[in-house]
Amino acid sequence: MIPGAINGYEYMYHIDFGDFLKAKIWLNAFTQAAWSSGAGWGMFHVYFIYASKDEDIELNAFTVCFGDMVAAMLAAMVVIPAVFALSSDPMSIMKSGANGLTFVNLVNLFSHTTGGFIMAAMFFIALFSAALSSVIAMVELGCRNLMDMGFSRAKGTLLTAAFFLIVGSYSALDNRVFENQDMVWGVALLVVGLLYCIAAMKIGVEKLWVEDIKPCSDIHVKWMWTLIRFFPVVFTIVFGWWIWEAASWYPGEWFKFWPITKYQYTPGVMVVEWALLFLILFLLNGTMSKRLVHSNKVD
Amino acid sequence: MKLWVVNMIVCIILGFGSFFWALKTTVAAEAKKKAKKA
Repeated sequence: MIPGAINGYEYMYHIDFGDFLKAKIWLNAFTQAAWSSGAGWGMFHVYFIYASKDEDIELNAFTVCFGDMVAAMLAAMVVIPAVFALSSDPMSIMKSGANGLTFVNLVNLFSHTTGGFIMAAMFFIALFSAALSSVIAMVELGCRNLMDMGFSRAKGTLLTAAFFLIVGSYSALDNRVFENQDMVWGVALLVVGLLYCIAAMKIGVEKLWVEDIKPCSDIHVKWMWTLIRFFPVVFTIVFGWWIWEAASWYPGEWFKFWPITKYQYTPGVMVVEWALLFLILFLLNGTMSKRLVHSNKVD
Repeated sequence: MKLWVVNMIVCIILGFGSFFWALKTTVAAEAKKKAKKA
């Protein structure tokens, strides 16, 4: 092991019990899981279209979540010790956040390390492959919806890619916008999860288990599925706690939202951005539902 | 043993253990399905 690398492991696995009392830590963990596993995105809609009817839902969910976690842990166990071993000031690198670490400090580190060019090439090829595999499902999510509305695959792909390009460019050009978007839509993924959960409870958690999940499941861990009932409670606690804590970061200004480069994390900016999307979708709802009904010939 | 070392071991065992168990179960289930079809 390279000298100093052990400090990276210590940094990774060190437990600060005070962190358990911070709402942001819980919210970050919550949103990370929703982002990373693709649950909040509703990517399972895409996967289900192409999966066979007897595909094991529970086992797949289990494999995806733990696979995602293991891959992230493995990557961190390679990158963080390397930063601690090769850098003279590793703590400043770690404090620069995910973007600063990946696109600024790691590049600097590789350029000052023997064989760094090869390491950098391998690292960024791996990162690009990981991003590409996620983007395929993300584009398909938008494209598939457009196809259901009667668009061709080519048009659907182009429209989705253009949407990503236009909306994503602001985040690519300014890291403060990126941080804001990461937080606002990260938390929105939890709201989407809440909506799915409410839908499951409306249909019937037991009914879904008996009719849809159990017949095509090999592991039959019912308690894991029924945990969905607790999601609204967990969501309310974590989200409410975070709103209360975020308001304290901006005393007297928690409701402000403009410019978003200044009010990146206010509850105000989050509500305004969600409301904007809601308004756009509300206005488009009639057109979208007509196209869906017309294209799929449903009553 | 230091707390962070214990935490590291627990994370590795739980994380990798659960993943490989799920993977093993998936492979076994797929083999069963294939055998049924054949």
